[in-house]
Amino acid sequence: MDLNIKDYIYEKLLPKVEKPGRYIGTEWNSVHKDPKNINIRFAFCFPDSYEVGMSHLGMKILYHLLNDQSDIYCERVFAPWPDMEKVMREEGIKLFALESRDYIKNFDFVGFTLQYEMSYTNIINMLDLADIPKLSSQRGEGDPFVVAGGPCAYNPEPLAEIVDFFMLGEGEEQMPEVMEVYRQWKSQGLKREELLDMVSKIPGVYVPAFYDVTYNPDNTIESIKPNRDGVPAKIKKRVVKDLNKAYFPDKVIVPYIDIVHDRIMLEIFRGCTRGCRFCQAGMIYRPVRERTLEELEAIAEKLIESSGYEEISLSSLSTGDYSKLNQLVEKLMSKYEKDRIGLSLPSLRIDSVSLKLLQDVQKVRKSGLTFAPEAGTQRLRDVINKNVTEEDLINSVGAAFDSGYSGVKLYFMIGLPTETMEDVEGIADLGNKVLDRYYRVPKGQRGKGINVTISTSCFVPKPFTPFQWEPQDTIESMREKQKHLQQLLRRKGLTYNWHDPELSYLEAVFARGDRRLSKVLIRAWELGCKFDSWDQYFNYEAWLKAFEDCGIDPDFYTIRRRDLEEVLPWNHIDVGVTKKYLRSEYKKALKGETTRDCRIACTGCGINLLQEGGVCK
Amino acid sequence: MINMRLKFIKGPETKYISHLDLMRTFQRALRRAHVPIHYTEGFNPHPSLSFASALGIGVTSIGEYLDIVLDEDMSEKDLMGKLNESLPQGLKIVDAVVLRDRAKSAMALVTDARYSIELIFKDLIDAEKMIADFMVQNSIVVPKEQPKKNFETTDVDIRPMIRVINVLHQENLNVTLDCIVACGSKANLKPHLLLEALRKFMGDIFEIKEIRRVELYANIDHELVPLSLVDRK
Repeated sequence: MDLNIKDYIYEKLLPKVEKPGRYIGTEWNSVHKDPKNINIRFAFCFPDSYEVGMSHLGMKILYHLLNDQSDIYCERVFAPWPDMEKVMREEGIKLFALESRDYIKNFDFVGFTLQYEMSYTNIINMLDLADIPKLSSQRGEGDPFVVAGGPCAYNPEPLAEIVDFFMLGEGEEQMPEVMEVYRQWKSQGLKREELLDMVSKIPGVYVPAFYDVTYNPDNTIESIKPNRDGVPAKIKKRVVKDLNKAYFPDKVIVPYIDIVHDRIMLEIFRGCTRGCRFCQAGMIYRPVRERTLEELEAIAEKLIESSGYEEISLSSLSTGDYSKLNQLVEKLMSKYEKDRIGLSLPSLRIDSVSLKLLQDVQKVRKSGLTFAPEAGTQRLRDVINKNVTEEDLINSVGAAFDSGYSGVKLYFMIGLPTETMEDVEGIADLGNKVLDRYYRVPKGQRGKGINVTISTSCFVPKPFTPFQWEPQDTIESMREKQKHLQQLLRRKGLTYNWHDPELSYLEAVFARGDRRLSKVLIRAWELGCKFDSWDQYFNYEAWLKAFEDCGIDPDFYTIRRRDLEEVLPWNHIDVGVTKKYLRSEYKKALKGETTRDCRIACTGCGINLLQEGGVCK
Repeated sequence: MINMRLKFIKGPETKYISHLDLMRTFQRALRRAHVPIHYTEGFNPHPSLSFASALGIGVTSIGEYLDIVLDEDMSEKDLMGKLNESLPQGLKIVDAVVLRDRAKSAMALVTDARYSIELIFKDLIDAEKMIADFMVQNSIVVPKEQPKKNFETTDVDIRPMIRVINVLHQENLNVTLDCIVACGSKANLKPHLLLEALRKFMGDIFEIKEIRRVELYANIDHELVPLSLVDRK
C-alpha cells in the first residue's frame, strides 16, 4: 500500500498496539493548525504514559497558552508505551507529535516537563526515538532546542548535559518571553549559540553550558560559576504575581481513553503556608496566591461548557486552606447540582468541619477517606513540622466512623530524619488506635467492612527543604522497619502497604544529584532502563551497573550528611526561600521545635523578597 | 419522556475508540450540546443511552445506532444540529427518529449486520468463484478466542452466522466484499473472525484495507429492516 508516513503510523502501526487511543491526537479541544502558516513548532513532551501526562494541569495550561499565539503550533508528545516503541523501532518510525504526526526532530523546540526524577530515562529514550542527539553539546544548527521546566528543574544539574536550557518557575509569563526572543533570533538567522545567549538574559532561564562546576578532592563541589559575561550568578525562579490575572485556558482536551485524573482541575490557589519540613512542594511553590471566588466561578463555567466533564476537582496543595472554601463549594454545588456535576476535594485535611463539607459534596459514596499523619509519634511529627496531633487524628477518624465511613487510609513515611524504632512502632500504634475507635461505634450505627490501610513510603530528602543536608536512611534500615511493621500490623481490619526502598534510593540520588549524573542516565538507558516508576519495568540491577560503569558511587548522593557550608549542586538557583531560613528550620527540626503556619504571621522564609513588591497572602 | 434513536457514523478518526470510551465520549458530547438527557433512577444515576451493538476496534461504520431517552422535548433536527457541533471529528449523527411508546431497544432488536470489506490480494484471483466455493461449505469451523476464559480458544462453526457474501466490486487486486452476518445477543460474528476463516480457506493471499459496517438490521417477519425504520412514531 502506498501511504505517507503519517497514514502509515495511523493505519499500520496503531492496529498493532494495545491502546491505540493513546496516539490518536484528535481528541475534543485538541488544537490542529496548518504547519504552512506556522513560525514556531513546539513539542510539549511529558516523559511518561499518555494517561499520566494527560492528567497534568501544567501541560493543559501551557498547551493552550502557546497555541493561542497564531504563529506557534504546540503539540503533545508522551512516552510511547513499550509495545508502541517496539513497533516504531521495528518499522523505523521516529517519535512524532500527536496532533500532526510530524517528526519532532524537525521542530523548533522539544520541551520536557520534569515532574519526578524517575522519569529522566524516558527523556533519554524519547530523544533517541526522535533521532535527536542526546547530549546538548552534540546538537548543532538545525536541531531543535531541548528545553525543560517543572518542579524538578529547580535542581537541573543531573540533566545539565542533556537539556539546552531550563525555564525555572511558573511559565505563564516566562514562556511567551522566550518565544518572543526566539522569533527575533529566527528572523535574524543567527547561530544556535546566540539564542542561548539571548535567552540567558530572560529572568529564570538557565543555560547549563554557561556555568562551570569545579570539584574538591572529596568529590563535593568547590564552585559553580558563570563562564562568560552577562549571565547571572544566580537564577531566580519566575512567579506569577497575581493568579487572577494569569493566563488560564477556557478549554481543556477531553481524552477518549480513561486517564488518571479524568475531570476538570480547578486550581484554587498556588503555594502552601504549612511549612512541613519534608515537603518540597510546600517550599518551591511559594508564595501562596489565591484565585478569587468570582474568577474561579468564571473559569469553572467556561470549562464545564467547553469540555462536557461531569466532575470538577478543586486543585491545590492543601484544599482546606483556601480562605473561602465553604462559599466556593456552596456556589459550585448550587449552580451545578441540577446538571449532575460532581465535586471532589482532594488534599483536604480531614477534621469535623471539613468532614461535614465532604459529606455535603459526596452525597452517596462513603468509601474511603485519606489522612496523612506522615509520622508515628508526636516527637517525630514535631521534627517534620506536621502539625497534626494524635488527638486530632482520632477525633477526625472518629467523626468519619460515626457518620458511617468504614474505609480509612493512613499515609506515613519511614526513614525521616531522627527516626527511631520507637517512631516506627508509633505508626502501628496509631493504626491500632484508629481501628479501636471504629469498634467504639455501636454495631448498628457503624459502616460495615472496616478497612484501615496503612501505607508507608520511603523518605527522600529534597533540595530547597530544611532536610536538604540530611542523609537518606539506608535501604537495609528501611527494609528492617518495613518488616517490623509487617509483624505489628497483622490485626484483622488493618492492611499494610509499603514501597520498595530501591526506587526511593535512586530518586534520592537524582533529586540531589549534580551534573556528573548525566552520563549515568545515558548509561542506564543503554542498559535498558525506562519507565522506572512502573514496577514492571524497574530494573535496579541495571541501575547499579550503570553507576559502576560510570565510576560513580550513588551512596555519595544518598546516605551522606552534607555540611551546612557545602556548595550544593543547586547553589546557583534561587527559589525565593532562603538558605538562611532552611538552615534555621533544619536546626529547629533537630531540636523538635515546630514553626507556625505562616498565614498566622510571617516566618521570614524570604519568598516575599524574590521580586520587587512581592507579597504573600 | 421521549425515546429517540440516533444513527451515526464512526469514521477513521474514531475507529480506534473502544465501546466503553465511545460511551463516555457521547455522554460528554450530550452535555456539551445541552441535550436534556434522562438519568436513570436509583443509587448511582447514569444517563440513559445505549448502543445497538459494539463495533470492533479498527472498524469504521456508516450505520451505528444509539438509543437515548430525553426528559424534555427537543426536535430531531435541533438535536442533530447541536449534537453534531459537539461531537469530535469522526463521529456524526446522520439520522434521528422518535420512537413509539414501548419500543424495543436497538440492542434487543439487532440480529444482523452488513459489512463492506476491502481486501487487497497478492495475485489476481477469481474472487467470485472463491467466495462461491467458500459459501458452499456446510460448516466452517474456526478457533475463536474467549476473552472471559483467559483467551483460550474454542472451535465454532460460523457458517450458520453468514447470511450473504457478495463480491461488490473488483478492480485488479482490490476486491470489495458485501457481507451480511449475524450480529446481536443470540449470535454474533465479528468480521475479523470471518476474515480469518477466509484466510484459512484461501491461504494467506490478501491483506485487509478497510472494514466498514454499513447497516444494522432487525429481523421483522423474516425480513431485514434497518434499525432506523423500526418502531418509528
